[in-house]
Amino acid sequence: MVQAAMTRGREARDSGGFQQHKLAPYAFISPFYVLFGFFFLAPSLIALVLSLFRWDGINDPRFVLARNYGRLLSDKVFAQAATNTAIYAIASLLIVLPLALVLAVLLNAKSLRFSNVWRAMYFTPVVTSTVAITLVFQILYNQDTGLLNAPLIYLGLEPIYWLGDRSWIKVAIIILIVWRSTGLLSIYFLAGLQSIPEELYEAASIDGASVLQKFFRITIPMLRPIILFVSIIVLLSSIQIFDEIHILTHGTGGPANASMSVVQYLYERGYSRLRLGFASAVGTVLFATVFILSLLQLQWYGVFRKED
Amino acid sequence: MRRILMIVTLLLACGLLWAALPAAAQDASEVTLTMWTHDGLYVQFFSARAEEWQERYPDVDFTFEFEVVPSVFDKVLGNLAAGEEIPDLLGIEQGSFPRFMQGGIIESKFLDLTDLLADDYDLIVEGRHTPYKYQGRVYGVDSSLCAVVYYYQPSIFEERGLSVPTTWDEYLETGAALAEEGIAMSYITDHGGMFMMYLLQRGGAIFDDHGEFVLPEEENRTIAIEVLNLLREGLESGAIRYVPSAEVWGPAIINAYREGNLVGAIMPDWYSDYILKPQAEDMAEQFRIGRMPVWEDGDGHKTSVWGGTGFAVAKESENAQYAWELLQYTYVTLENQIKRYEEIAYYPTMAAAFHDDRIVGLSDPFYAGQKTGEVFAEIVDDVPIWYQSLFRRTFELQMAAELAVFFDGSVTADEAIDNIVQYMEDEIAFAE
Amino acid sequence: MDERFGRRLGVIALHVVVISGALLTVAPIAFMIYSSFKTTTEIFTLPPWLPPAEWSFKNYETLLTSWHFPYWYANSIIYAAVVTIFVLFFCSLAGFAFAKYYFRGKNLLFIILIGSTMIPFQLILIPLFILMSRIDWVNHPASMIIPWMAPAFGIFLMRQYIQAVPSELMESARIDGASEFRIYAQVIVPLVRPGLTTLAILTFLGSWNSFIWPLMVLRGNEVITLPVGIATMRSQATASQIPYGEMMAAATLVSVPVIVLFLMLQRYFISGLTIGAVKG
Repeated sequence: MVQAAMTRGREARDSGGFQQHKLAPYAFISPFYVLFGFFFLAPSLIALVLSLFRWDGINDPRFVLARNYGRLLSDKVFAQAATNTAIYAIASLLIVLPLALVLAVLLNAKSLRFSNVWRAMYFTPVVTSTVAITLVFQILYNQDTGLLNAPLIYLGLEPIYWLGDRSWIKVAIIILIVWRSTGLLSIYFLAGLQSIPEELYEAASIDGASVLQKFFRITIPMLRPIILFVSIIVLLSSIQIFDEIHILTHGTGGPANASMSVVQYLYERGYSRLRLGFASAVGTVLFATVFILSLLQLQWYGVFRKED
Repeated sequence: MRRILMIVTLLLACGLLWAALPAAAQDASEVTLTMWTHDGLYVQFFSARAEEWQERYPDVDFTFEFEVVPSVFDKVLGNLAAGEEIPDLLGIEQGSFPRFMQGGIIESKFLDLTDLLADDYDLIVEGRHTPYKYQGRVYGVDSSLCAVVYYYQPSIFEERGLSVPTTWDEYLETGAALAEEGIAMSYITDHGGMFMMYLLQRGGAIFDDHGEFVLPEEENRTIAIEVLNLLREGLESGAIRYVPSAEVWGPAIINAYREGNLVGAIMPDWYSDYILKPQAEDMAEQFRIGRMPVWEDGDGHKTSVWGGTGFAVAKESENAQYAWELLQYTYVTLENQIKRYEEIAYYPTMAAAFHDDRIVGLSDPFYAGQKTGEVFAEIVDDVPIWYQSLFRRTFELQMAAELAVFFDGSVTADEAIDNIVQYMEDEIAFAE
Repeated sequence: MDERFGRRLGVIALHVVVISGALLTVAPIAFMIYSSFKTTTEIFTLPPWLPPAEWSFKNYETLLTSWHFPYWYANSIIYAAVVTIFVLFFCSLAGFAFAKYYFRGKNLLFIILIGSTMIPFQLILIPLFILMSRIDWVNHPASMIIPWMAPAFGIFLMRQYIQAVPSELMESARIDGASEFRIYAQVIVPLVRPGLTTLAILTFLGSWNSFIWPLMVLRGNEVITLPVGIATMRSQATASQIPYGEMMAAATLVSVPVIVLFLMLQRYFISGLTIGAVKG
């Protein structure tokens, strides 16, 4: 508020003559818009237009109006991919988010010793290479000799077909998502926790509030903005998930397409078959969905308030 | 302020300059031949042959850049769309050939080999031409016969006084007996190509010689249902084991062999040197090669076929002539087809090779000295012919999905075929 | 049971939960390093926790001698380092503008900025590749650097950090006659170093791990990156032997230096993230 008012005040004083600080922000942000416009926006617009064409990349494109979209919406495999992706997104929001929050509360506990060491350990999955770690998980999930099944085999139980069963493969992927992102997200929460005034908890303690009551009455409401911020990151990354699934299932989409995500569908049903127009239609639908969901979240989050 | 703009401009200028640096000009007598493939064995074999072949041109200084490129077909197609260069020689895995049929790319960008093959055309079995045919013309020369046999461990049968089954009925019967001890005869997965392998043996077809989808026709439909029910019976008794597609080629299978709870595999010739030998070095002399079980009523074939990689020549390359000659030397001479077998164990595609003692007389120490070529010599004349189609890849991928649902018992064979036919018809209508 | 005992029990439970979670988190990485000393056969032998018959660096040796691993490594480091330097400059500059200036069209430009993070990369893969081809950047390091120099996420992140810097500092610099760029360079940058560290690590990791794009635009051992190299190992290897052992060694060499780097920088990193997240 104060800052915006001050900036505006200076603008008033400077009107007339060279207004360096009026042009400066445009210059400062221009590299992004130049690079974005050239390397991302232009190709995106091309893709948007392409979604109305049939094009194999080599022969002349043929205008087909909304036929790509029509096929897309009637394709049961797309419906499956969309459902799978929604499952990944919801699972991320319902599992990773609370888990990260609880983890942050634990890591923030005053009585926890060597907390830096534990934080670093929780953060290591973020810094490992996707390709590398997915190969590791492939070994862990192996049905006959994988580390996850070995105890079951020794107990004489039926091993789990992690990558061969239509339900378990989704679980396998969600485990991978949880493993990769919980640590990073908990650090965002940790930061938020540290900004909550201690007095609030002290006052609640005097009133005889239990640990759980404090968590739900103070921690959650105070963290609301950060929960929203993190949920956007989670939503964006889980909806666009590709690398992990692609490598884990050798690009097949799992048994009966049970693990196929929308982006994988785009890649496999679009690019791999040289249906570039169709691929663009998938991408456009995906973009529109993510954009609307995120704008709603951002609106709620209050990013567009002018005074910040 | 201005400084920033200057920095930005300078940086972009540097980038553009850097990009614009011209490539070194090439001397006319220097020729670089490039080849991309997904399989290192081809690089090995082509490199060895190229060394010999280049002596035909003492005046030309050849450089051979043969390499394995990951996601090679995505890459070549992307390069074609962008107008980038493609290699002089490209090994096109038959499953990916339909991607090159799209929009007639194979015709516009690759050399028609039909006339170049000339008299040699008839020396190669027809079933090895059809996977690389587009509108009746051939665009690739295959690397391997890809005939299907049964790899098995005889000791498992012998210890129990069982004999190696020769028909599917015997196969299921023997398998059911072994299943009681937790031993499976072979394994399958939800892979469209693997299903086609069983279907082709029974004499069925998915596409006809014009690439039309003929699975819905009564005869093919009946065969498809028969094959599905055979596989399900095997799965239910435990004679055949289901393995997730991610683990089909990996060490999990080899370990199952090692532990003696899996007898073997019904697989094409390339399974031997591509999958089995490198991973199961410690199991030398434990395996033998036998014929694939046949159908009781005598219909269908003695073997089936799955896989293959056809080498194609880039039409627009200025080295197309050299590339073709090298390909011809490497793949279309009886002598080198035999060498190919000796060096990388890919079976010849020329029927005549199976009369050569170097094929039928060679005993393989891995198979305890068995003359494995003899098995193939018996079946080479009965390799089923199948036809390529633009929709072949669509079929394989969707069939894989239907198989997964079928194998776990969620649908009947009839329903599975109905589903795939419906899906294919939608896709074909969309492509029109 | 007195209260003190209860509290001590709580503290013990807290440690048990936190430590077991932390161990679970590092377990796959530990397993990866452990497996890198095994042969491929041993990796797939029950029980998986059995140690290798012989502890040896054989996988590492083969990796460094039979593959162009050092090249891939160097390429990855160069691309990631150069991209990171540019990203730090452009993103902090733009983040500064979004955090501290009021200008016409700011909201719209900001929506575009946010919206750009939502373009699925696979949507533009082919058009962007065609563009690269037109400007001759295929198989050229520029394609790994220039398009990635000003990512929206980085700008968004820097905006969060720079908002936390008191505006009064800028005002007094202005009164002293400093140019806007000077304010950025001499007032803002020193104050957001933790934020820059955060961005540096995230950017470096992003480039280091990127897979589909280098797979598409790069070819040949002289220019490809580590993830593409590992993918090559996997496809090439099917011919002789799927070298899970060597791939685990490769995965270890890909991950461990980054983990060590992170541990060294983590103090800055975590405090950097802290500031960014607090100020919504």
